[in-house]
Amino acid sequence: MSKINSLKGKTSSVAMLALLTAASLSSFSLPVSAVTDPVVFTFSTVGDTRQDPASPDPTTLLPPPPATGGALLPQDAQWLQNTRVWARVMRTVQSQKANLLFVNGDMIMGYGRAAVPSAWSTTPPATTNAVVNSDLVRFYTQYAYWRGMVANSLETGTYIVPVPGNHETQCSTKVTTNGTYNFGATPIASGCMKNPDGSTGKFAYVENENAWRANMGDLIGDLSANVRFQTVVGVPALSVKGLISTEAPTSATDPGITTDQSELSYSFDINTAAGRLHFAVVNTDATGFDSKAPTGWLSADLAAAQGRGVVKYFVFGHKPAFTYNYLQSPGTVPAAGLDVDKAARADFWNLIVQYKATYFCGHEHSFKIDSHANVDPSGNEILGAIPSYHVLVGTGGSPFDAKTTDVLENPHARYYAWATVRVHQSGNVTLDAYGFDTGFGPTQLIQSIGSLQ
Amino acid sequence: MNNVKNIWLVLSLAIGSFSATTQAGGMVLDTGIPDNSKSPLTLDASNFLAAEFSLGAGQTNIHTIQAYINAGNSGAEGDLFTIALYSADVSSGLPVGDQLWSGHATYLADGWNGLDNVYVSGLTAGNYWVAFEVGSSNDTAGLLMPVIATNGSLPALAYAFNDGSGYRPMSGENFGVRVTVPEPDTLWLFGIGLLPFVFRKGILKNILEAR
Repeated sequence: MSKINSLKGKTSSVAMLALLTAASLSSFSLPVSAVTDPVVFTFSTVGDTRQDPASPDPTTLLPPPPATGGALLPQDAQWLQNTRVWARVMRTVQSQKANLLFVNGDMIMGYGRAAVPSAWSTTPPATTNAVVNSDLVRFYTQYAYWRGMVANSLETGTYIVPVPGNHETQCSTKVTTNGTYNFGATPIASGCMKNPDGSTGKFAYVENENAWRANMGDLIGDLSANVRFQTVVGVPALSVKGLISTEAPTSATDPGITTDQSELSYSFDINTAAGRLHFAVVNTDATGFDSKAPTGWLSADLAAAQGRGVVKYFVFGHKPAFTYNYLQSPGTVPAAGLDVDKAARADFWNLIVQYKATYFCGHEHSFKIDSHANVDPSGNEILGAIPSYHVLVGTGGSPFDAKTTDVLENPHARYYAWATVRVHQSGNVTLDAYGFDTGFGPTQLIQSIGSLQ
Repeated sequence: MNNVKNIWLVLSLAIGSFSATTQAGGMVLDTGIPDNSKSPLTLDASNFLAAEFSLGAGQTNIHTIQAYINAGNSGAEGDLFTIALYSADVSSGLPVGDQLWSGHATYLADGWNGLDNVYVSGLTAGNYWVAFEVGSSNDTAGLLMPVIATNGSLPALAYAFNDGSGYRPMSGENFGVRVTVPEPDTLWLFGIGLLPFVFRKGILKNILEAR
């Protein structure tokens, strides 16, 4: 018996040594398996991919350096897109297996008036240049270039969901590249309105809204037609709203709106293993309703979604609800978003908070994710409610608001950044912001939020 | 008797441990564990990462290649990634030379992930790149490579990344990676570690009797 015990002891010693030997032979210990919460749906979002010929970011200019006269890549100078950045963002978003990519406005430079110039009715354009340099043709060619860029994304599993921005819907008197025919002796009739005081003005026009529908309408209409949406995304869009004028914001829902807002503000649901998700797109620059969100329409839309049992709400618009001051103190930036009308902004934001929604936007060419509770009509935050996230990702390639010499509030304010939201099987929703610097360095995870409420 | 047994055991463990420690001598690249001093880098089908290391005379095989990888919100156990070995391009020094070997690895959990027993053979002294890549056709939606401020005990000679437009130098961001070559002395040392047991009075006989 003692011999058996002795043998057991020796055998266990040998076994221990064998284990040690085995552990040593495998050079490194293996990691313990992770417990994961599978992702059931993914979407990404970014805004502002357009280039600006008048004031491009100096880092986007070709050599020689700007100080000695660098220039834009000719194709970007012609079609006014930051092709290199936008292509890389899309490429990476696809690598992240996003089902949807919301683009939060300002995909084109636009800013003209996409109408047949009134002068052409009496004096037809005499030259090719007169035609191709008209705002109307510029709008359509810029749209076409952008649509060509995103076409591959739709072929490889990521559906593009467009959000109108002010460069699509508004005309700006400040933009001097507008077609000559749109600026004449009667600028209001054929060009852009100025502000009441006669200063530079930016106002939305019905012709630009029509151009939006003409160039983006197939993407939006397919939410319902489902010619390819389900094939690309894997699931259909449900409860689609806003494809016809009577279901879109109107003067009845949002007094001040004067035009058909179909396909400019719209919404839909996606059913996932984690529950039903609601996505709402709002036009923050409708004709007669500049720099405002259609809060009345959105209120009814979110309430209807809640009635359908939606568990998460995501709202996309171009203009931020809270203008981000990217400058480190001292320094401020003027209100540039929905906060130009603080009372209207309060109505909009408090609705976002009420539904524990997340708002994604662009317009400011900077990156910032923060959260805000309810606000009063004066702009003061009211403590009490759980804040909602405000995700500013106007960083798809347009010239950064912050200059290269600015001291920045956050180190990624001049990063080309986007957000990718993942809905996990448990129902938890995570948000990761990715980006790369102006030197086109490696892609980094620049901010991560473990739970969007 | 028990004391003698314990002495033998301690000796055996010590020698075994010595052999394990000695195996670290087979490392040719060891950046250490990332300290998250900066934002982590992404590893996905649009962002490959590579580190350069050197092999000396007589180091003709690669044994183990591992990178420090986290899942973050995007990764999941079982995510595949590719480890590739490149020769350094003569003119640029970047991993655009010949791909010498590649293999699929699986992310298991946050920490060191990679492949053991690679045994790439026929290498000669010189500079090589070990690259971590993701194939566009697999399901990996993105892993994270935390960064490290210091360069570790056996630092990489250089780092590079590929955003889909070819490998380019990367400066300012170091990620965690380690590479070993087989240690010829290892098995011999393990043999020594076993000797006390094998030759200990009675043990061989007992084992034989048990059969």
